[in-house]
Amino acid sequence: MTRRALVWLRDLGFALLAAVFMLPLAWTVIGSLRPGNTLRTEPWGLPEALDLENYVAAWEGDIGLYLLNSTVVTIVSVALIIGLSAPAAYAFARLRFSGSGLIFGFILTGLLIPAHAVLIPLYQLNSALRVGDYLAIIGPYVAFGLPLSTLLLRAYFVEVPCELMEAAIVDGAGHWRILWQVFMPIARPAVATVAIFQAAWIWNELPFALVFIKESAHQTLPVGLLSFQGEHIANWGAILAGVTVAVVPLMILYLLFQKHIVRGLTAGAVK
Amino acid sequence: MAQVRLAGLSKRFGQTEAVKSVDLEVKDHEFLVLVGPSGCGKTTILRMIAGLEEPTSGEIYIGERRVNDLSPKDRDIAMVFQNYALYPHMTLYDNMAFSLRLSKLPRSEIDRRVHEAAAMLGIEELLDRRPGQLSGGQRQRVAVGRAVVREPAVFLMDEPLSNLDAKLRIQTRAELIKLHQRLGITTIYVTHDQVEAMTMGDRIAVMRGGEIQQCDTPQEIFDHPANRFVAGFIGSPPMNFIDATLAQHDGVIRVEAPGVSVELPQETARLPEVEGRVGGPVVFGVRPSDIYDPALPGPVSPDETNTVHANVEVVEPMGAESMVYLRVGDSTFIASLDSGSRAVEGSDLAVALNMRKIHLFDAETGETIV
Repeated sequence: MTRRALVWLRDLGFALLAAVFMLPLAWTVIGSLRPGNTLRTEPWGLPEALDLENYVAAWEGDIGLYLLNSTVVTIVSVALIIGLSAPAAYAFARLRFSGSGLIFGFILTGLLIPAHAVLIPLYQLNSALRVGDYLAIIGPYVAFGLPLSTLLLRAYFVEVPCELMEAAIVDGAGHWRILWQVFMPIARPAVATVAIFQAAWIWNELPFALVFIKESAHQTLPVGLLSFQGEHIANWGAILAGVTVAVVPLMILYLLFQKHIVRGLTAGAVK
Repeated sequence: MAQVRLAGLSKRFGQTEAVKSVDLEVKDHEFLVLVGPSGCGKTTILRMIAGLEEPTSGEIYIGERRVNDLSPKDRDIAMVFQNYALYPHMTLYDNMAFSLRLSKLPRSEIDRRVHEAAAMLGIEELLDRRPGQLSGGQRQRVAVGRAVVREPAVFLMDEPLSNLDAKLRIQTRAELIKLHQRLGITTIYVTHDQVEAMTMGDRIAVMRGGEIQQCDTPQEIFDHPANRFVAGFIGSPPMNFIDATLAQHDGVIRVEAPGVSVELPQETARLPEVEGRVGGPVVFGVRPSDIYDPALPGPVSPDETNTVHANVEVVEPMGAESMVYLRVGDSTFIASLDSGSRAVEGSDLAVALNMRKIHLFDAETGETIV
């Protein structure tokens, strides 16, 4: 087989793989643009005309409110995760203190705890502390997000040349300033990766949101979308419209951060 | 401006004693070079002066102040790192202004200092660029500029030229010397390159194993090394050494080794430290530049030289001179001969040693005898 044929086969494989990933998304978007009653009878058909009635139904079903709730919860959670894991990662990567390895190991054990295992204890804790709906889910999101974020950021900080920190110390910067003005801008690719990972997880998270949020006005998107599905009847068109609306912010987020993930910023720092 | 004084400075990393009770005084305005092989403790000393490493014991004074307990920013020093350590996400202007902003200087003063330093270093038109957009030489200038803007009492430089290519290194070396002449700031410069040390330092401190072996002017160290290590480390190509014996015949003291029998000048032979070693082992040292081809007119009169018969192994023409590897007995000598020399690979050659410039070292301790 010639090299050209091999390349062609490889590209065909990639195209098929891309199609496999794209198909559910395309079906969702197309389905959301078709009148609700045609989806059951003809699930694979193409829309005859652009029909936004499902989006109207979703909007009337408070999808806007769920979107806002999810946005607030995700932004606050991700900001807290990065705000807390960055100093921890910096300390583990750059500061010498006794017990550092032990504490880091302890934090990493958080990766091994399945969310479902702590659902009931956390529910009881939230009830006992009488925390509000937002705090009830933001707290666990941050707690579950910290181990992976600390691990990823620490791995990146370890690679930042020591001399950069030392130059900043000689320049008169304290550790706090070094972290936020020197390390964090350099670590933008790592921060972007952490932000995307955590945002995607929090945006799609269902069990905590379903169990901990009491007020329907505080529900996030995954929980809100469930309300489109009754016990005996489901408005599939509205659900697909809701899912489409839910996916768009994540895609925008990914497109915004993608270049930071791909591009390393340390070029030119040393030598 | 300030002098720097180290008193009994030591640093231990676990079981390793990186710096062993070093005493050193760097005068105000002086350019002092710490030179030595890798792992000799020179960078550790610099880092302790900067405050990046805590001494295990000993005192550090900058000016009249004991700075052991001061943070780096309060020591009135600026440091240039080996890999420049520029902040990659900041423009050159911001790199240079970073420390000044932290010192809360007025914006106009920051602007003045940055532009003045940039003009001095010829990087004014690059101030809006980031380090990644610069060549190695330009980055090196920015690193120096970042130190200059602080107008510190002491410059600390940790092998700042080692990442430059040979040509740029020579050029930048001269620029750093000019900068020091212009600013007159006390400078402590670390390098493992003895040529840099010789050309840049007002004084050189040669280090080995955490200790200063000798601290003096470049010429004094070259002419009168304190021991065999210093003699071998300073000078390029390095000094030739040969294990020999001091023998006395008819009132004349000679240095004898396989293939070598040379007569010590009278004034050297009369020295008590030489007379007392007659019959004992010594290490005989001669620099490549003190070996001549007697057939060519040389700077030394023939009665000051002794001849040694050698076999030419390799000739490396360098243009004005040739590096000639000579087999003498069971030893190899390097001689830096005039390019007009008759040395031909494989042939025999009689070479003359300048006996006024020879060195003798104790065979056991390596300490200089003469």
